[in-house]
Amino acid sequence: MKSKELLHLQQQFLKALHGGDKAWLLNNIVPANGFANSEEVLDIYLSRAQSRTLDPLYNIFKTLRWLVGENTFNHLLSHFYAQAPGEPLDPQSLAAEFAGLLFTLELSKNNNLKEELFNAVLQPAEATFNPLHIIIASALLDCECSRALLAPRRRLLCQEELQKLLLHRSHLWARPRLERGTIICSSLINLVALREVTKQKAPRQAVKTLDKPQKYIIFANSSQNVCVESISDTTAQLLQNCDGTHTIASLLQEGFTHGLKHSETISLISHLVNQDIIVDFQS
Amino acid sequence: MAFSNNSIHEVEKSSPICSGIGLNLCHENANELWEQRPPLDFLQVHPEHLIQEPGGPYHQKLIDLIGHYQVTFHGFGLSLGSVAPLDKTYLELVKELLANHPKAFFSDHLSWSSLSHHHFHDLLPIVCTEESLEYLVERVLLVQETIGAPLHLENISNYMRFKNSTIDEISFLNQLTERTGAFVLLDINNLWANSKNFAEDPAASLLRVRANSVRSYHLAGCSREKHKAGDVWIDYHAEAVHPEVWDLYNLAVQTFGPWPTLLEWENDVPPLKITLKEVEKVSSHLQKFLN
Repeated sequence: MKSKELLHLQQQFLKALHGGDKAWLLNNIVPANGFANSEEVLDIYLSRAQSRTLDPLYNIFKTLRWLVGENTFNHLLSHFYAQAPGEPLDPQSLAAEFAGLLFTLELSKNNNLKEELFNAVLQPAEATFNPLHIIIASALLDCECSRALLAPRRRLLCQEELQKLLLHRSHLWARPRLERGTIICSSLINLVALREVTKQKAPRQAVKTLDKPQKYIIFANSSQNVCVESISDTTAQLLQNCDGTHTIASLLQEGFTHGLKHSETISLISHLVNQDIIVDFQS
Repeated sequence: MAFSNNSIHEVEKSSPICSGIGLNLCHENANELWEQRPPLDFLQVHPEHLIQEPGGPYHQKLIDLIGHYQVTFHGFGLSLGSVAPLDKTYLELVKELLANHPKAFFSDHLSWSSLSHHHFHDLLPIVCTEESLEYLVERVLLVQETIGAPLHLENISNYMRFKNSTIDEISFLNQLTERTGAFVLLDINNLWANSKNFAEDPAASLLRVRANSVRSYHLAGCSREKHKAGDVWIDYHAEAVHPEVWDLYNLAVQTFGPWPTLLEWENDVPPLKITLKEVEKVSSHLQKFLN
């Protein structure tokens, strides 16, 4: 059976939480003695629900906070909460929803927020970059760093054991894999520099942009630290194939098409093992 | 779907083997606990943390500490009083955890905290009526059926009640546990704070809890906040246990027995040595009772 009374209570609470009518709740609440009225206690419950939902985003979106400043970030969060279709239990899902909202901001009717965001991003005088793109890049960087950090670990063998496997006579049939949550991406923003200034809590400054897209890898190393590193196009291409389906023999062939000798590709794989980027040789 | 009468008796027989005094594991104390591994009878772990953080530094420490200590599992996301379906995946995880830790028990709150995919990250009070009681009985039985163990139901702290409630909270809890075979995780601080906030006698409230239903205790700090019409005691878990709560704990131990007791400190968490002093205090209170 369903409880109509509980259903009504919960629907009323949800409605009030998103700015709807509170009349039923206010009429039915008996506040604890220290509260002046039911409105005072209801507001505590509502603001607590909102702040506990949004709190994890402060920790996840450190780069974005640095980029736009605390005030603008808070306004973004308020806008997000008002628009949010739900409050997932998992902060990672909420973070993905929040980052997704930024993509729709250009179409948003909230002109005040758009203007505030455009003004919040510091840029060099000659910049022609749309500030919103820098905001989205920062948010995605934060999201991916968080995902890389919290993904379940795949690594079973240490670097030395993996290097031994690379010397094994059947090593050509090993299938290299990256740590779960690792992402290879391309950006016109210098993500390494952006992450560094955020980590150092440097004063807000213009973000470095690039003339052409650069490839990056975001991964968690064996010390459980998230690393953001720039990589060459060839390395990126090779790593895209390290998904457990391609053998080293296949990677050697791939390297060959990029002008790498077999020994150079093996040497690159060995280097990526030492960098904690390749963490498994599924065989 | 529901337990038969026989299976309720089976549930009652299978009381937790875990005993003594424990501490909660949280992000703030994980590093110190992991490094120091102080002697504790048990560690309380939130299954939600395994879902929210399937990897990463906290996850690794959590897994290590689960392997090191005897544990109990305390949920905050079951949302027993919600009208939305129970999260079967979550309950399967709890079942698996209990199977791997036969001395552990699983507890959650007599409250609601979500509606479908809306999670409020708070323990919200329910309307206590005959109708909601029937509903909660079904839900508790379903939880127990799924996890294959008795549920320990914790009384929450309330800052509001509802005019349309027709049963008081303790009677509601008593009827619910009697009809389902679930146990009570008696949060002494919550009971004390509710009594203070609604001008009731904490001892009288405590003595109304069905004696043979209590199987575990929580102790925590409570903060006094000034509001428009006076002071409110907020269950914030950010300070030492209030002296009056210790008195109430003594009464609980005398009345219900020396069940596993957990000290919770989750906000403004001090260095571990200070929390451990509170743990020692629990021990001395229990010792007084045993002597």
